[in-house]
Amino acid sequence: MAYGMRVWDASGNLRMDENSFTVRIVLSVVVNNSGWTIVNSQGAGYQDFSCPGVTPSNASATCLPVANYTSNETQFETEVRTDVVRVYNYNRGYAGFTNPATTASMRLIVVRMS
Amino acid sequence: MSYGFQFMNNSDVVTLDSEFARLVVLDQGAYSPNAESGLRANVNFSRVITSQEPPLIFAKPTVVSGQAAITSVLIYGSPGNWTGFGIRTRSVNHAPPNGTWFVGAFAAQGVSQYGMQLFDGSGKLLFDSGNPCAVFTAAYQNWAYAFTQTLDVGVTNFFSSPKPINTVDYMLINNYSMNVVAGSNSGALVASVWDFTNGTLYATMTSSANSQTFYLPALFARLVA
Repeated sequence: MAYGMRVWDASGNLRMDENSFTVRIVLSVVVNNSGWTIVNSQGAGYQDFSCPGVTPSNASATCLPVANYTSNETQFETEVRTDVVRVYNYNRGYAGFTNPATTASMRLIVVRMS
Repeated sequence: MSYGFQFMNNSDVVTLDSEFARLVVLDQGAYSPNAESGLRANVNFSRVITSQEPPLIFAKPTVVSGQAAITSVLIYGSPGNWTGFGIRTRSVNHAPPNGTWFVGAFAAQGVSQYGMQLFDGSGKLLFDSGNPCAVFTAAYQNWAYAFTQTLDVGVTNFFSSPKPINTVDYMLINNYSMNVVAGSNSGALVASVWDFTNGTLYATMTSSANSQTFYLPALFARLVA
């Protein structure tokens, strides 16, 4: 290599080099099932989280369970927008849903890819 | 960043710095069926994961003829003491749960006897050369509705991935766990279906009233540079 850094593991395997991309976390926050900006009478809503620099093409967002869950519990959904990540308590493409997400809280993580 | 450490790769993207935690690999191995009449694979980590929140599990089914599935993911343990996880296949009509996995966290665990460690401004360990960083490869949530099938587990909508299956990358599976909102109050069961015969990765939802839109992200990583 011309310049840069390489990291090997204890067995001598190359783990990171000058061509590697890592998963860089730029936002990690617990989202609670409250405080939604309500958009319809079924209780559908969203919450926005400021995340400067993100766009739909350079970042990805997901919500992860923070605790054990039951078989009837439903999860939040995400959308990366410009400088903002929006978390929904419903499927934003589906008008036929009957009940917003029921889980108490999830961890939103936003990762930058570039 | 006014001080600290920064490493940029050949594409001038910051790969490692002393500002943000990276996804670091804490343990890895293989999974195979050992519970629920061969439909579930339970795995014990080789050492307890001490993060407060459940660690991130990445998995990749073994290539088979037909379809493999990952669903009903459970993570065992409690905050500060995560001991393992379980993957279930969909039914006897899918391949038994066989594959490989690694577990990561956005925080390092100090294990190295030599090498390098990085800490952030508050003294939190961000990097330890004994916990290699996972290398990001792809992420997307633009699933396309493909078709509906009535399976033995119920009416299932299939959504195809914009990219074909590649057999190198591992997928984050923590989110293929809890149900998603659907047209019934208990929501829809989600699964990741790897159709190796056709080279297509699907996300599926199963309930009495399914959506034709699906937004659960798929995030892929691999272990070695």
